[in-house]
Amino acid sequence: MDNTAAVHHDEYEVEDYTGPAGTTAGRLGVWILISSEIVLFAGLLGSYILFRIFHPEWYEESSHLNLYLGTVNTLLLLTSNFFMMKATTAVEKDDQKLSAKYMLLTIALGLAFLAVKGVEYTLEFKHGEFPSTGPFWSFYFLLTGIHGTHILGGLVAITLLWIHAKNNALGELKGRVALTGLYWSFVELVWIFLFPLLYLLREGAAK
Amino acid sequence: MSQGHHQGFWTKYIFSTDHKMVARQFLLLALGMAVFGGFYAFLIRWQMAFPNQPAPFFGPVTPDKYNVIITMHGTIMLFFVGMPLLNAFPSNFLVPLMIGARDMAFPRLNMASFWMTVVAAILLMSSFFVPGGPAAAGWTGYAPLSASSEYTGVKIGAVLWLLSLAFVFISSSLGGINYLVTVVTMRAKGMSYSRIPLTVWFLLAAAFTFFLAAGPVLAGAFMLLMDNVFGTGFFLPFKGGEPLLWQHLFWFFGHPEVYVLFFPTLGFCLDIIAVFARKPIFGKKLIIGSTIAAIALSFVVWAHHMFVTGMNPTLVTPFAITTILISVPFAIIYVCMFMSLKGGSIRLEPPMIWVLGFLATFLVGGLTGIFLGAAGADIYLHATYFVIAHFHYTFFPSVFFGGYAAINYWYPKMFGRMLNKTAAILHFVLTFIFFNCTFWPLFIVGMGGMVRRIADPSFYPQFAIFSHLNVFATISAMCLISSQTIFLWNFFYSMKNGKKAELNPYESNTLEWLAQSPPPHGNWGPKLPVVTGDPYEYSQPGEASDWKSQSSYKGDAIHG
Repeated sequence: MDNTAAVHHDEYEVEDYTGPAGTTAGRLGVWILISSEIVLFAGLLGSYILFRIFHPEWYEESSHLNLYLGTVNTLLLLTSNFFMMKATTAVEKDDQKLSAKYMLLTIALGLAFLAVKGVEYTLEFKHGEFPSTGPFWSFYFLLTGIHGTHILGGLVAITLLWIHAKNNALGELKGRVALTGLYWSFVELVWIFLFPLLYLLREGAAK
Repeated sequence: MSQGHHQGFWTKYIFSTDHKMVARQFLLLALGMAVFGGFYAFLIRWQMAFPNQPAPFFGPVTPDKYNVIITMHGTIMLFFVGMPLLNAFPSNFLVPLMIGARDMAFPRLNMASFWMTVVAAILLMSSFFVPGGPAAAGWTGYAPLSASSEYTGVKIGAVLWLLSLAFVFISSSLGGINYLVTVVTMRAKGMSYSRIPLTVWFLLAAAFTFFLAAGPVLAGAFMLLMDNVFGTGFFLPFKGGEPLLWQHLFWFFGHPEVYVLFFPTLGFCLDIIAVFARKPIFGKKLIIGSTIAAIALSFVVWAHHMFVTGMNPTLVTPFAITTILISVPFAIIYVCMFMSLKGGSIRLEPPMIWVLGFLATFLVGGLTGIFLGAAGADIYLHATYFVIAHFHYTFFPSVFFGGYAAINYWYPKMFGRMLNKTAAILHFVLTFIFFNCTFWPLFIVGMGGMVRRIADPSFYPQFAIFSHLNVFATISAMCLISSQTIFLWNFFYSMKNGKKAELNPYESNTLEWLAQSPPPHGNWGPKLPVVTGDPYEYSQPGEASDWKSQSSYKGDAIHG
């Protein structure tokens, strides 16, 4: 066969696979990923909300959550998202070094979020509040645990990009910064649902 | 193949990112797992016909083993045979070829999706070797049976089962993302949405339905995992949990999942009908519209699986109505299929015979579904073998008749050789006869009142009157399973020794038949095909031949 050259891998690698209206494969992929994540969290939050409707006594249990640490965490996550947006705009203006600085801030705030979450868990364990203590605590640990895992995943992705960006070596990965930012916004948005549903629905909240 | 020189053994056959190799891997995985699934089916039938007599190759099927066997049979057949055979394998093989792309949008994600399924299969099968044995709460994993080891005596097995399912779900969702993105962004020039073959449409419908449905049950799986590992009580009443919540989360996924395993077969059937009846598809737009309606409805029918759970009768009525309503779009698709056959010059090749077999058998499954959708009838029939017969009349035609139709049809493109036609027809005839002989008696047994989910029928003297029917069904099932060896022989023997396939042995219009058989790495020559026509332009008036390829692409065909 003499068609080897024709099917050589490098020859078609350069073809541009941009779909209608400039949708890149990556952007579309992340949006679909997010839509499948939405149904996952819909299942989790839907189950939790159904339980809450039939268990007014959970207001008392949710009062044991640390509202101050929860609020601090909300601020940390919102701010980290702001810096991730700045990192995206910096890459779009082709300033990788600046983008790397913003990414580092994002990572630091993300880690701080996880650290505060760790402190909260420790305090709760000290008070004898474990996943097996009761349905409210089961839901609390499940929801925050799965959300925390998403934060961790996002941080790994941002860290990988940061390593390239600080050496001015993003190259083909440039587009990924915006995509990771998209995912990071989604993870933050989940927290925007978790925070009121877990922390703010507490005794005295309705009064 | 000549392009092999820059691919080592490992990158070509094992950790391959080539969509065609990934497809073949999924196909082999499905066939391998089907051997286990079939063996468990044999054990279940053995116990129903000859209770407590030692089964050949196994020994006595005791109640604890029976529970394991039904759980494994269902789990394997749905997630490790049905989904790889109907979703992963054809989506990987056909989507890029049929839309004129070189590979998937995310080839490495594709490879990851296959290997995650392998990990899932290993996790599942390894549960046979842990203390307590594999999960034993049924493939539906009903809580509280599945939520605490006190009920089944299984702990590690249940955890492995859940982890295995989580891997399958994530793998299938990643696969679905890949297929959707590929179709949106990588179609060849001229491949407008209206020119996409129906197989691709239905594979997309299945992927889309799957990942909209998978979220809630994945959430439920995490809760069940916590119940088993951390001692929570999401589904345990004595810990303040709700066992019925699991059923809601499960069936919210479970019912759309039925269509995930049905849509691809509809796609294969429609494409095969067009080719072998030499006619355009009747009502293509109507079919696509009906599919969209069916997807929407499939998310609001789930509670018909739960009519006997004591749910509020005001809620029963709307679910019964939606369930009966969902047969309308499928009836429309069915009528379109028959109208496509009507007046065609039908060529009775093996793929077409499988499609006709599918139409005949699935109709029985579909019509008996209406009995079960009507709450009044369902409450009597729900716990009986009628349900077993019904869903085997839907799943078996869908997964196996549809799967065999697809394998018979695309085999020449996959392996460059033809299957032995005589063996293929013999395989069909035996499968068709013995499938009906196995499951038809179960309708009668079920309507007579024989209860399902029992490990030992001899315990209930009132079921003794069904024993002759049960023995008949079991012997038929054993013949059904044995007949599959003809296929396995044909499949593997023809790979090396079959007649060399032409590029387009069936004179089909769609793009995949323009590539070499098997297509090389990258599928097409230096230039991609340009699409100029509809996939179903058969027997057009004024044309010299009765078919017209979607593209005039010649490419490297001369070397084939």
